[in-house]
Order: sequence, then C-alpha cells, then structure tokens
Amino acid sequence: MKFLRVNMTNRTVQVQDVPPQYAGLGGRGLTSILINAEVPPRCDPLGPENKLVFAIGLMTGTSLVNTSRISVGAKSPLTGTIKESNAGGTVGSALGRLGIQAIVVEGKAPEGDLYLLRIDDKGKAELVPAAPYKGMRTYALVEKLLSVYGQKTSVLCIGPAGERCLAIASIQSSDVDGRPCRAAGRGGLGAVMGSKGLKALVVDQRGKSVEAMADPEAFREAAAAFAKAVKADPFSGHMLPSLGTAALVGPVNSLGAFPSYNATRGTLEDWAKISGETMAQVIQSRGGKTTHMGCSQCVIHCSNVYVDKDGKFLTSSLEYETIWSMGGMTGITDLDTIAKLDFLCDDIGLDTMSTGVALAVAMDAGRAKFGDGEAAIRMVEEIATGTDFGKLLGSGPAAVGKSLGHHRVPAVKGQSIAAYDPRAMQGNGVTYATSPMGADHTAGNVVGEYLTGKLDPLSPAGQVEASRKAQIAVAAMDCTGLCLFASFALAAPGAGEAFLKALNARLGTRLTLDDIPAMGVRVLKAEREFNLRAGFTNQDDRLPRFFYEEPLPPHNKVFLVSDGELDKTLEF
Amino acid sequence: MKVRVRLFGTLGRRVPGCIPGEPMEIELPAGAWVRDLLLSLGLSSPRDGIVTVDGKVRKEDEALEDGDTVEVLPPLHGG
Repeated sequence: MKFLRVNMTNRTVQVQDVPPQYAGLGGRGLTSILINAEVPPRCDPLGPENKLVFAIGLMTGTSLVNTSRISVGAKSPLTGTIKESNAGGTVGSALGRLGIQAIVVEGKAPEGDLYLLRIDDKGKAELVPAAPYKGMRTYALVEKLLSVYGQKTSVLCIGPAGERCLAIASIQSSDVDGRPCRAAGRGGLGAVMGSKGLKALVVDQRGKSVEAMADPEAFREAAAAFAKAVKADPFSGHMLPSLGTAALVGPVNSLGAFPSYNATRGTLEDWAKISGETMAQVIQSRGGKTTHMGCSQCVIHCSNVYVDKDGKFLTSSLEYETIWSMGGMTGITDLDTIAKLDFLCDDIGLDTMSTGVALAVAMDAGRAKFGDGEAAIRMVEEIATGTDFGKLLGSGPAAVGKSLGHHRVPAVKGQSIAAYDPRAMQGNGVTYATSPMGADHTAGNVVGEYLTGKLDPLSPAGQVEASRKAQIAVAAMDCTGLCLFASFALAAPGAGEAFLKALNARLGTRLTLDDIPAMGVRVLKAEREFNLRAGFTNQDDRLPRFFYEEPLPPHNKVFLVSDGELDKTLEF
Repeated sequence: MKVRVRLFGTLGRRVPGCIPGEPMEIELPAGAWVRDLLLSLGLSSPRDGIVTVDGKVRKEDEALEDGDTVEVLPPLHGG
C-alpha cells in the first residue's frame, strides 16, 4: 500500500511506501497515531502546521462486506483536540482498490487559491486548480465533477461552510448514486480542508487492487461466513433495512432520553410524527426508498431516499441523529422540514448534529420559537450566505451560547452531544465527557446495553465500565474500516472468529481476539497523549454544569457519575 | 384487567391485529406479569426486546397493573 503526501504550500504530491512506524495501522489508528506523531499539539487547527489525514481501514478495498469506511483526522478547530471523523460512501473502497492507504494533506495553499486532488485509475495524483468550483454547494459540485471526470468517480468535498472555515463544517462523501449525502460530519474537519485550500478529492473507482492477499483462500472462506452473519443478525439483517437508524426515535423517547427543546425534556411531544415507523410509511406512500444502499460493499442497506408529496427527491439518507438534532432539539415535528434541513446541511457542507444543536441553543436563547421550521431553514441558509449570525451558528453551539449569553449548551469540549441525554442514559454521558473527541456518540455508544436489557440507564452503576468497553471496541473497529452497524454481528457465534480470520488472511498476521482491544487501547492512548500535550486535563472531561443541576423530565434525574469515576474511564 | 401496548420497530408486524405505531388494548388476568403479556403476543424478553412502563424498564417477572401503558422496544444499537 502507498501513502500520498500532498503539500498544499508547494502544491506537490509525493508517493511513498507506508512508513515503517505506521505499518499495520489503518483508519482511526493511522490518523490518530500519525497526528500525534507529526502535528504540533498547540498549533492553530486552521494553520499550515495542522495535517488533514484521510486513511482507509485495514480491510477497506477488499471484498469483505461493509468495510468501505474512511477515517478523516486532524486537530479539530471545533474542540481543539485530536479528531477522527468517519464516513461511508464509495471513496474508501476506491482508494483501497488503488492501493492507497492514506493521503496526508500538509501546509496551506496561498490565500484564496483552491484545488482538487484528482487521482486517476492508475493511482496517479495531481492537484488541479479549482477556481471554477469556488463557493459551489456540494450537490452541484459533485454533479459537475462526475460530468467532467466520469460517473465512476468518488468525491469527498466541502461546501461553502468548509471554504469559510466554519468550525462545524463537514466533509461530504458521495454515495453509490453519486450524491454527496454521506458525511465525515463531526469536529469541523471541513474547515481544516477549506483552510488548506482543498475543495475535493476526486478519485477514480476503477482501480484494481495492487495489494496481494496474504492467504486468498482463507480470506474467501472467512469473508463468506462473516457476510452470512451480518445478514442473519436481527439488527443489521432486519431492523436497519426496514426502518434505518430512525428506528431509535420511539425507543429512546420511551426511555425518556431523547434530548428535546434544547435538552430541557427527555421526551418530545408528538415524537410519533417523526418516528422511524412513521417515516417508513411516508416514504413508502410517496414512492421513495426505505431500503437503500449508500456505501460500497454494503449488504445492510440502512439508507433511505426521502421524497416529497410529488415523489421528488428531498434528501438521502434521513438518519436518527439528524431527526433528533433538527427535530427533537428544535421542537420541529414536520418530517418534510427536517428532510429539507438535512439536505441543506449536506449541500452547504455542515454537520447536521452540531447545526441542529446550534439552532436549538439559539431558539432557547430567544432568537426563534421552538418548532419554527421556516426560521430554522432561514437560519441555516444564513450560514451559507455568510451573515454575521450565520457565521456565529456555523461556529457551533458553544459559540452561540457564549455570544447570546445562554448557559444551556449541551456540548463537551465545544462539540454537541448526540441523541441520548446523559441524565437518562448515564453511560453515554461518560462517553461524552471522556472521549478524546469531545461529545461523540460514535466514540462509544452505550444505548445498545440499555435496549438489550443489560444495564439500567438511570443508575450510575456500571456506566464507566460500559463506556470504557465501548470506547475501546469502537477505537479498534475504526482501524479496520468495518461499519459500526455490521460490527454488532461480531457477537454472533463464529462471526468474530471469521472477521479475525479475514483480517489475518489479508495482512498475513496471527492476531488473536485479545489483540483487538489492545489495538483500541493503543489508539486511545495516542489520542489522550495528544490532548494532554495540547493542554487538556481531566478537568476538561466533564459535562456542562446544567446536566448536574437541571433534572430532566420525565425521570427528573441529573447526571450522577462522579468526577472520580469519570477519571477512571480511560485510565490505562 | 386491561393494558395498552405499543410495539416498536417491526415487532408489530409479528402480532396479528397490530397497526404499526398504534397502541393496542390487551386484556389480561388480574395480577398478570410482563411475561404473561409477552406470551400472549408471541414474544419474549430480552430476545425480542425490553419492556417499559412509564419509561422505566420492567423485568419479565414484574406485575402489571390495570391501565398500564406498556411499550415493547426491540433490541437496537446506536449509530
């Protein structure tokens, strides 16, 4: 496999073998260990010293199902910490088939210059001036790029928010239909890409893997067994293709843990109007798609295509976290409005979660009424047009709270929480507080423990252990390129062994099941070391005060895990 | 006694007469447990999901009361 070093200051691209210190690393392991080694921790995240790293997983590019994830890493302008943001789509597999393990973007283009990084079907990379694409929104951009470079092209790109270096800007990833609707949303990495002067990666999908499989026969056998397990699992094989992630809306409301009206209530009035069950009925009645393949190599098909009353495309894919941030947090219970907000964020290049929470904080502070969908759309448009208020929203919920003098900001290290209130799902609060990424549900989501009856969500007991276990498991899994949703099938008899066998057959290693958590711990240690050197301490691993002081209806609980317990979470 | 039951996700598709997303009324003997309710629906916990009453998780051997609103949540994970 190869590394591409792209120097935006000199506009040069250097191809190199994987440096020995990074051998055997993929995905988040590679982005985080490289950033910890090469980026000065106290640097300006939008300056030339920061590096933006795109790294595919160890299994990405192979035929193993659901392994097309790509990790994007940098020092985050939103949190000031190290950051890995993970995206699906098609670009990960395309890079894998070209034998490209990682792209490291360094330096900074001259002010105002903008480039594409084009990688052709032979893996040859060059920087192409992108002046004609300046300011373009992502849907129009990708349509244009596919017309220029061919339909068999994958794109990772930023929109106006990234070009403006706004702290909640996303990097959008094109799906199998060529729509930029998957995202490395969290941590404002779109702003880092914008600061470098890089508008898009444009990657030919027609590469042939240059990497020989260490044991092709063992790989084929193990890959078939793993695919069977993913299809047989009730969650990945049945629930997700039926209702998608939106299946969580009802259950999390039932448990009183759906942060609503800017986290002042744990149940949204009229949540049934925006539930997964309702959404599936709406999509089906209008001729959209409730089951849809979004990413390469996927056999789950959790995606959907949401259409309006006339059957016209509104967005893809409408996900649980967005339904929450744009619905629960803002009190908007009209699915069409939520779908429009989702599309707008993808098109402008914004993290839907941070954007929704920024809106909710603004509403809570009196800038608009909860439930006012038209005001929400207007405010998101302001981010694209770049008004003063739009720039404030685009800087994230903490900036909004500070500017408007409002205390209730559900964020840790500047990044908003996700769709699980820490007062009613205490373990998710542990992850929000202690993850090196700031509040991030993908860094160790404990909701599955509650919804399989293994843990009481309201008691502080057992939450630190559950969060630790989840954080380690996810950190390891994010090294492989495996989709989180396929990973739950690893618990099925023989499935974990099959995945490990495929990994060993690919790499020529003899890893055992014990080596997997060790991989996760190594990644978390590197991330915490970076944060420590950047000036973060245990005192930063805390939730905002209001989670400790304002009880959340209907259970009227506050966050109960002590600071001392929190500090033990990642004490390796 | 009568309880109101709401089945989430695709659980409703397995129970005859259930309209997805709509609560249904079930008649049970007085003092019936959560397990009795699930059996009457052809379900079991935690295999098919967990049960909540008033937003709190109930075990299979806990008694239900007349007028309870019971929700059955399928096993899910977060993303």
